[in-house]
Amino acid sequence: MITLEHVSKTFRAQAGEIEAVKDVSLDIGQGEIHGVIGFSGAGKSTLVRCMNLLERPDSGKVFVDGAELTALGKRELRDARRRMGMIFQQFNLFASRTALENVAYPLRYGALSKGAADRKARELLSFVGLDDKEGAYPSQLSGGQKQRVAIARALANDPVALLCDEATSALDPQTTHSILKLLKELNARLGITIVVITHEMQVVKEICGRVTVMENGEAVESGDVFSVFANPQKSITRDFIDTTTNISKITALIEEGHELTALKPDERILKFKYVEKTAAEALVSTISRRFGVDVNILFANLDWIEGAPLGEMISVVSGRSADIDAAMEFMRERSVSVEVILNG
Amino acid sequence: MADFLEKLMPNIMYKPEVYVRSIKETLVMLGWSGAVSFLLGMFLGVVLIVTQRGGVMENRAVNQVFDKLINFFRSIPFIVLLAGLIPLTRLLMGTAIGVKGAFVPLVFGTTPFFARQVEAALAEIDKGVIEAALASGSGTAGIIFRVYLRESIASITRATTITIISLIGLTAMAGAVGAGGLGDFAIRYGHQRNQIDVTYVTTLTLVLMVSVIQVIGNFIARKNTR
Ligand SMILES: Nc1ncnc2c1ncn2[C@@H]1O[C@H](COP(=O)(O)OP(=O)(O)OP(=O)(O)O)[C@@H](O)[C@H]1O
Ligand SMILES: [Mg+2]
Repeated sequence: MITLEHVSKTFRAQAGEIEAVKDVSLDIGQGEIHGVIGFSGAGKSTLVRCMNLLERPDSGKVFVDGAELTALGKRELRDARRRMGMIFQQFNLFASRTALENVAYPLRYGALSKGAADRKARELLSFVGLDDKEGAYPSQLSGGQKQRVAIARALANDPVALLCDEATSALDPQTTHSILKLLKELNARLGITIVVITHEMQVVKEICGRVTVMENGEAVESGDVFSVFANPQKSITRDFIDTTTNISKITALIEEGHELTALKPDERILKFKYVEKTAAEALVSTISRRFGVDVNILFANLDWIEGAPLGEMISVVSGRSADIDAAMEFMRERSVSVEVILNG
Repeated sequence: MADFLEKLMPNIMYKPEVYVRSIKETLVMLGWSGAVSFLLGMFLGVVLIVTQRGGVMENRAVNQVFDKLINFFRSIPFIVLLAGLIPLTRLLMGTAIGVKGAFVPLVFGTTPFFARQVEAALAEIDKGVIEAALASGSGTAGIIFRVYLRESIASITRATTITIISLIGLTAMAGAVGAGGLGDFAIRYGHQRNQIDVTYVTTLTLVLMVSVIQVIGNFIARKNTR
C-alpha cells in the first residue's frame, strides 16, 4: 500500500546539515497496522511526512496505492493526499471551526454539496463516538475528544491509509487506550492501512502487526511485531522492549547483591523466554512436577501478541543439578529459550 | 435648546454646514483610503506570510522585496510622506490638494502599518494546522482563504480597528495641509481664528468616531474568538 524506495531527506540548518532520513526502504502492506518507533530526533516524523510528501524527499521514491507520489504534479498530488488521512500529536484542529465544520473541511469545495458534506461529517462524528459534540469548538473539547474529531476529519475522504504521528503522545494512558482501540476498529472495519509513529513500545505492542525501528534516520530493524519482540537484532530494539518490562531489574539486583540472588549450591537463576509462537501450556507447574524442581518466579513479563504468549520470566530454580538440566532441556524442546543468569 | 447650543458653541452654530461638510469629508477620506489600504495591506500581509521560509509559496526574493519596501515606507514620517508624494499624487489623482489629494498619501501611510499587523496576525496560526490542511488536500488558495484568513478573523479585526483609528489621526493631519475634513476645520477656525469651541467640538467628534469604531471592532473580535 505504501512503499518507500531509498528515501533520504537532509535538512540544512545553521548548525549544519541534518540527515533526518537516510536511505529508508519500507513496504507497508494493505490493511497492515505498521508501527515506526524510535527515540526523539530519530527521523520518524520526517519519514511519515515523506509518505504524503508534506516533506519532499531529496532522493528516493514514494508509492501509495500503486501511484508514484514523487512523480505527480501539484494538482494530482492534492488528489493523492485526499486518499490518505493524517493525525497529529497536537491534533491540529481549526480553532475557529466547530467539530462538525472541522470534519467537513476536507469535503467542502470538493464534489459534495454543503448538505451532503454535513451529513457525511455527522456520520463520521458518530463513528468516532462524538454525536453530541458537533457544535462544540476545539477549545471546548478534551484531548481525547479532539483526537477523535481529528480522526473523523482524517477519514472524511474515505482514505486508503491513515498516518498517525504520535497521535497518543499527548494523552493519558486510558485515553491512549481508547484511541488505539478506535484505530484498531477502523482498521478492522474499513480495512484502512495505518502507520503509527510512536516512541512508546507499549503502543506498538497494543495495535501493530509490523514494526520498523528507527535510529539516526535509518530503519535499523523491521519485521512482524512478534518476532521483533522475541528476537530483537539491535540493541536499540532491546532497549525499547526493556521499557515495556521490568526484567532488566534482575541485573541491578545481582549487581547490588540482593539477598534474593544469594544462591545456595543447588539453585540457579534462569531466564525463560518465549521465542516462537507456541501453544500456551502450564510449563512452570509441569517442570516442577515432572522433574521435582522448585520454581520461584522473581520477575515475569508475559504478554499476548497475535494470540501467542510472548515475554520473559526470571526464576530461581532449585533441585538436583541433573533435574534442573533436564527441566531446561524440556523447556527448550517447547521452543522456550533458557538462559542461566546466575549459578549457585 | 438652539439658544443654549448657540451660547455653548457660537462659532459652530454660526456655520453648521461647514462643520457637517468637514465630517463628511473626513468620512470620505476614511472610507476610500481605508478600504484600499485594507485590501492592499491584506494582500501584502498574506504575501509576506506565504512567501516566508517554509511558507506555502516560499519565495525568498519576493519576500525580501516586499519586506524592505514596507520597512522603507513605515520609516517615513507621515508629514514627510505628504510632501514627498505630491508628484505621484498629481499623476494619479490629477490634484494634490483636497480630499482627492489626500487619498494617495493616506494609503501609503496606512498600508505598510496594516500589512505588518496582518502579517503578525497570520503568523500566530500554528504551523501544524496549516500542515493538517495540506495533508487533507488543500491547495494554496484553500490554505489562504479557508485557513489563514478564516482562523485569524478576530486578530485581523483588532488590527483593522487599530489601523482605522490611526488613519483617523492621519486624515486630520492631512487636513492641516489642505485636504479638508475635521483636521482642516479645527486648524482653520479653531486655531487660526482662535474659535476655541470649534477645537473642542472637533476633538469631541473625533473621540466619538474613535469610540464607535473601537466598540464595533471589539464586538466583532469577541464574536470570533474561540
Ligand atoms: N524543518 C526542519 N528543519 C531542520 N531540521 C529539521 C526539520 N525537521 C526536522 N529536523 C531535524 O531532523 C531530525 C529528525 O526530526 P524528526 O522530527 O523527524 O524526529 P522524530 O523522530 O519525529 O522526533 P520526535 O520524537 O521528537 O518527534 C531532527 O534532528 C530534527 O531536528
Ligand atoms: Mg516527531
